[in-house]
Amino acid sequence: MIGRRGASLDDLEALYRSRFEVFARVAASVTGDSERARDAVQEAFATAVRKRGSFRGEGPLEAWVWRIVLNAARSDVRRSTLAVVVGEPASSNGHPERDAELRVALALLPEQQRTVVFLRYYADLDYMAIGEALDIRTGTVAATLNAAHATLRTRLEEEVRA
Amino acid sequence: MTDFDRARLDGILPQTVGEPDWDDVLSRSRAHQASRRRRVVALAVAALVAVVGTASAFGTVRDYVLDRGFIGLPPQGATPSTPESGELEIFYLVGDPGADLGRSRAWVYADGRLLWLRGGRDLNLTAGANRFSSGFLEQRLTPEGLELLRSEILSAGEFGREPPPSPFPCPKGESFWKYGCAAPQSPLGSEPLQVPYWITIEVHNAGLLVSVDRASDLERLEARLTDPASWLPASAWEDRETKAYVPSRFSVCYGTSPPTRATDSRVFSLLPTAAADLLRGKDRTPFNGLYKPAPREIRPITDYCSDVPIDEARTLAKALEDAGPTEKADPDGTFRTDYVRLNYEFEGPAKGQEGVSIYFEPYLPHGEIICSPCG
Repeated sequence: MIGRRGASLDDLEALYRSRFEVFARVAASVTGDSERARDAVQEAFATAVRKRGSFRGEGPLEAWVWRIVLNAARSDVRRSTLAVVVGEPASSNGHPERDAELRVALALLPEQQRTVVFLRYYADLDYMAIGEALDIRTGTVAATLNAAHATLRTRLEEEVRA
Repeated sequence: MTDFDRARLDGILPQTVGEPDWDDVLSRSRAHQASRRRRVVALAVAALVAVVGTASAFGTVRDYVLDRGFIGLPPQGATPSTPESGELEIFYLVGDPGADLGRSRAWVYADGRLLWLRGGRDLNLTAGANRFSSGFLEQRLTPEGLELLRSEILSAGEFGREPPPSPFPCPKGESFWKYGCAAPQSPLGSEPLQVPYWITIEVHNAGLLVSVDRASDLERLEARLTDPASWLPASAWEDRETKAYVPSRFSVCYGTSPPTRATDSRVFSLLPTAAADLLRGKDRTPFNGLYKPAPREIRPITDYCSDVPIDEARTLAKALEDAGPTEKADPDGTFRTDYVRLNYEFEGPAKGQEGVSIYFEPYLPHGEIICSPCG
């Protein structure tokens, strides 16, 4: 149950450099603030560096780091009691109205559903890695994603009808 | 399907602020890990440990017979804890500085030693050094006691990925962030009982210290770890009596005040000559860290630490005392760092110029020094 191999500093640095933006932007969906999200990512990687010996190697390193990043972002929210929102759009991406609707619909999702959506479709993690990151079973990931889809579909259809 | 694609989510998520900064990550890591940073955390300590006390009562050894903790150097003749080194089996940091028993850090060794350090706002410990700190204390467990303590953690902690029993639902109006209550809209109606970031519980297993990620009854586990004597049987104790932990050596750390990223030669130039002469000939390790003088300001800093045997530590402390350190203000009994560790401050050569700070931390049997005011 507790068989681990640890993570190397080089692996962590490579992950940080290649995926910093993805970590920071998904963390911002939790903190609701880009600057604090960045701080959470920095703190999280510092924690990962410190505790790299406790990485068990049972799943991908990235998933383990995601867990720390999300915990750091949630801790930040807990400390600040700021409302959690999905931030202002970075760009309209050619569909400003649709994106605005989706942004609102995402913001209204329970945090875990929203996070699963971003981890799956933005960070491109597979179900197993998402499970590792959120410390839930793979089946729960699928169920959570299905629930998010259903909620978003309903809300967006309501928007269209309105 | 809601036609998610990465590009669309990319347009929705907020943009990143700033560039990646790996050096900052490493600095933060060192700042926490070494736990030698007095000032990064001094702010937190100041916030945690509000208030009142009498300066003269603290910072000194209370009794030659070390049946209670002390701050700073042990009295002449005090016998260091044996053996000098030990293999760490359990470490934990639990509790609340505002609670009666304060916040506890403990280190349990394979040889049965249970060392602990407790900090708080108004401690009332028979064996404590003062109302802010217990000082480092020592008890001894039998092999059975060590296993009982380990079992307590292993049975309550979760190291794998199987979820713990479902927690109770959140009472109406309660935040689901409060650990132990379930998020109201969680898909399964429950949230894993994550051990929050302010608690650390680590157990030696398969050659590594493993963190407890989740606990099935964290409140109970915290209570038990905070006060093992309240539940461990008599057979668990080789020596239940609490004594001061007397180290064999200290780490002496020094840096500018207020903290900056100064060179060691700059810091030496600010120290009293006799002290600088003693330290200059010693190996020293620079520790880079971060200092937060204000909520939105972060400044890189460096302190230097040297390994000093206890006799030399006494000589050094005397040199510092003789040089007349800055008188410590204590107008209203407010908490000061030197209530929880030996610490000297010297003003700069002229008004407004940086001064120097130097402090002593004991080595623990597994070779680590910690930041006594932190945690």
